[in-house]
Amino acid sequence: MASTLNRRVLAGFRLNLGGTLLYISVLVLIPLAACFLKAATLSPSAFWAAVSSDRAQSAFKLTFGASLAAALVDLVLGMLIAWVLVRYEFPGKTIFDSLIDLPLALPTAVAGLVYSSLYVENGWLGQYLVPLGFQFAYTRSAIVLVLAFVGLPLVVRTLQPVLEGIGVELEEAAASLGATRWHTFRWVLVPMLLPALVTGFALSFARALGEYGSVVFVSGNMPNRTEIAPVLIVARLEEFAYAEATAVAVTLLLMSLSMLAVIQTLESWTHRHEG
Amino acid sequence: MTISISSVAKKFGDFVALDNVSLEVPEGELVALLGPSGSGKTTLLRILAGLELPDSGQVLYQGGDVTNKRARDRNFGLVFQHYALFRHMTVFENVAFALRVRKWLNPKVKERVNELLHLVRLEGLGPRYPSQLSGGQQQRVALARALAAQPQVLLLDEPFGALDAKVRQELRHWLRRLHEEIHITSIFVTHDQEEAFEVADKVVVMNRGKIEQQGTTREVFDHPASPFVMDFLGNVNVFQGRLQNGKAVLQGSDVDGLEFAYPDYPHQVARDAQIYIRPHELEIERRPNGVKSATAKIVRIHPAGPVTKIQLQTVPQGIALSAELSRERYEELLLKDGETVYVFPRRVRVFLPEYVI
Amino acid sequence: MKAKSNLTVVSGAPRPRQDPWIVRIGLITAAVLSISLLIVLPIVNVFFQAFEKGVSSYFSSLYSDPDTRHAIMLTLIVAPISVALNTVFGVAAAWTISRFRFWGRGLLITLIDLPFSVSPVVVGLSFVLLFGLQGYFGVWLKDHHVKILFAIPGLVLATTFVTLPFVARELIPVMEAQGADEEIAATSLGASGWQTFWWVTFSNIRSGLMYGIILCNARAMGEFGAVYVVSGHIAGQTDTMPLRVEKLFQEYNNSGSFAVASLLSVVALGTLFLKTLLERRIQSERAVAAAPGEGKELLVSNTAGLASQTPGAAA
Repeated sequence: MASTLNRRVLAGFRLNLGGTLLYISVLVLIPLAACFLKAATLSPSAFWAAVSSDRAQSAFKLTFGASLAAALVDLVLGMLIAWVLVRYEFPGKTIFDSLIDLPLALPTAVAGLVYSSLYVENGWLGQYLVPLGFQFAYTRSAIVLVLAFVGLPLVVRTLQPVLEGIGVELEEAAASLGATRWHTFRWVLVPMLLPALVTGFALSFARALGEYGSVVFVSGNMPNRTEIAPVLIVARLEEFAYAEATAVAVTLLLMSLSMLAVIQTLESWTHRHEG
Repeated sequence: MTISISSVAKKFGDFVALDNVSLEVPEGELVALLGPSGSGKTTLLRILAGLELPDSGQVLYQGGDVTNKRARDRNFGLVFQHYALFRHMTVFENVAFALRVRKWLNPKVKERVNELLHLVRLEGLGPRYPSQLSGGQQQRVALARALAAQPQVLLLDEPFGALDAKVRQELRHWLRRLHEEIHITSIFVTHDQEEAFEVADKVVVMNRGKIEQQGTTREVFDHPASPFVMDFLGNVNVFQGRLQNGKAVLQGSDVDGLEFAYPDYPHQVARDAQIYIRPHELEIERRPNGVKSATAKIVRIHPAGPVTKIQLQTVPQGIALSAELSRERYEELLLKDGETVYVFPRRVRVFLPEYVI
Repeated sequence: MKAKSNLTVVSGAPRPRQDPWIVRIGLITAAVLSISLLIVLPIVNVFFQAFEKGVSSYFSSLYSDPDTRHAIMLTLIVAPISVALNTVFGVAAAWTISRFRFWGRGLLITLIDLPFSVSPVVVGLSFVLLFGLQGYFGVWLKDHHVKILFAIPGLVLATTFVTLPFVARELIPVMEAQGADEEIAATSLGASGWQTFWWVTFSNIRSGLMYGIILCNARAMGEFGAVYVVSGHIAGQTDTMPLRVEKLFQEYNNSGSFAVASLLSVVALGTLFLKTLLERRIQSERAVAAAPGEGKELLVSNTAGLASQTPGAAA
């Protein structure tokens, strides 16, 4: 394993570290700094005005709420799918397993395009769902649906290796002690999966917070109704209201970063018993 | 109630794990299933536990056929080599698990768990988590957990395999004492001959899916039923030999002609056989004995506490020999590496080829 | 010998790890149904709608529309550049992080993951703030006639930001698992940094590297939000394929937009296919560390070439 001694033995520490830092600074840190700088040029009251307008408020609420809902959907579905893929055999399983990654590889614009088209009134699914009252196009539910699509593989792929790694003995021990399958699942397996569940939820949630491409197609982008924060930012940009756009952007950025910090703490808390 | 295993067979693909095995375990006994890996001992235990189904054969208990009974309905306590404790639960909750499943009320649960923690000498450690305990402590928790719902039978799968030598020793004695206290029918699997002998009432030696021999520790050691048993239970010197007229004569260079009385074979017709000599049954002298003895050179001396193990090579052909002397005898002789001495067996065991399966 | 319980057909009572068959069937059905509805159906629909007006119409919407042709070409320029940049970065970063311990290492790892938490729109916005006419460098750029926004450089920057982590994240665990032993051995045999990298490290990380590259590429070709902001979406000039999909969609050109979408979907499916192929190879790359015997053979064959080089000879 690497040690500080390696610096004397292996070449390229300074060069690679320097290059890496330069790259990240130029590409990531400086642009993000520009955001904060610009936001700082606004007076506090102007900043607040940009962020607290009705339109902005509903955009933030929608972004946060829809991401949360989507992450929860992904948690449940992801658990189901991961369980089935790891524990059971059925025809075509390998194909389904590789398809789980499609939302990761597919451009979000394509996802948005096809989702909107599927659930409109004369779409493949919409034709059955709309008469039943299920509107999954140009509504908030549409946003949750497409965000769930985008985040699903994150939960499944986080859970799978953990599920695979659970030793047979624990379930055998529980069975020998008289536990039913459900009892074993609920009291032995789920607590063991908790760290992975939290991580999966976090990844899916974070992904959904920033998602733009797919939502733009399915939501209709109606201000105060189905407009998410990134869409609001673009709208402000197109009005050349750079400062306001930046204010919203910085707020969104701070939201994502602080959510991640909360989740990091949760993760280390749930990992505390990994003796 | 006796556990009766009747003609149990189990295959995994082409591999025969158990080949028509039958065994009776009387109530209250502590039995060791002893054998090398692949002998089928673990498979047998798992079938007893209800974790595997045999391909054929039956397991009978309390008068009924329990072969198909699910693990969770059997109420047999199970202890694993790597403890299998529920890491996210406290020690208390681990031990209480079986009781919670049976929906015991809290006060009773508390009472029973504390009783068990006292039994395994871990009082006060209830609120700790498994990761905070040593290996030996974890295994004791596992035992307490298995005993919680008062099972009739206790099954242990190499329970001390994951522990340090010293802890292993302690826990062995401890398990023995526990058994004396609560007399629960117990079966444990081990590949460690010493462990089986120290802990168990009865030993069942297994090899390649079959039972080679079963009996008390004394029986098995003193009267091994087959070369395998003899070899497995200790380092053994093997020679070709010939039996005739109540004598066994070793054959082969350097030991040729060494003979001893073997009254079990008084016949005139000579017979080839394998002759086994246990290390502690090999005498070492500084002078050739009246009985013909072999000349050997000392290669290495291993002091091992109360005994001293000595590796020799016959002169001149260099056949390897293992001898074991008591400390006193070793000190008496004052042997050194490289010295030439004389060896002869005090006792031999003979296995005629038809015994070998 | 520990027997592993078999999950395939077992007669008699269920084994501890086996769920009752109703539960199994139910769960499998639910899972398959969800995957079909959420993933399979949409991708099938893409191709269905793309070819709705017939095969010739499909190809004409791709070929005869100059703006679409340009979009395809643009994506094929921008994506590879981003991928190449991030690959070099990824290798350098993985080398630094996996082979050395230094103050700020954890911070560096977090920084690399940062692009995952930034909304693509915010990415685009930050570049606008830097390079736009009213941006911090706006005036300087104008004076020197350098176009970043609304031109290829801007597209490349935005795409590179968003796809930055992919290669690095793939390589770091692989290189960590392999450990520095082989490289240290190579150095002790006289290899230079470059030689060590090309002769020893590179062959060991090939599959992980490939994997990272194809993921990076899929994401780069599909990037929408950040590119949307920095491109000014001028059709025929700065629209990449995803932007073209959106433009055609706005123009109610359904079959056109689905045609372009189908191309992107083919790339996505191809990525998945390659991914499954590479998955197995990566497992064995990570296992190099766990199999000392194997590792030694690799080491010997890799450094044999090095050892035979005399000092001063051309590398």
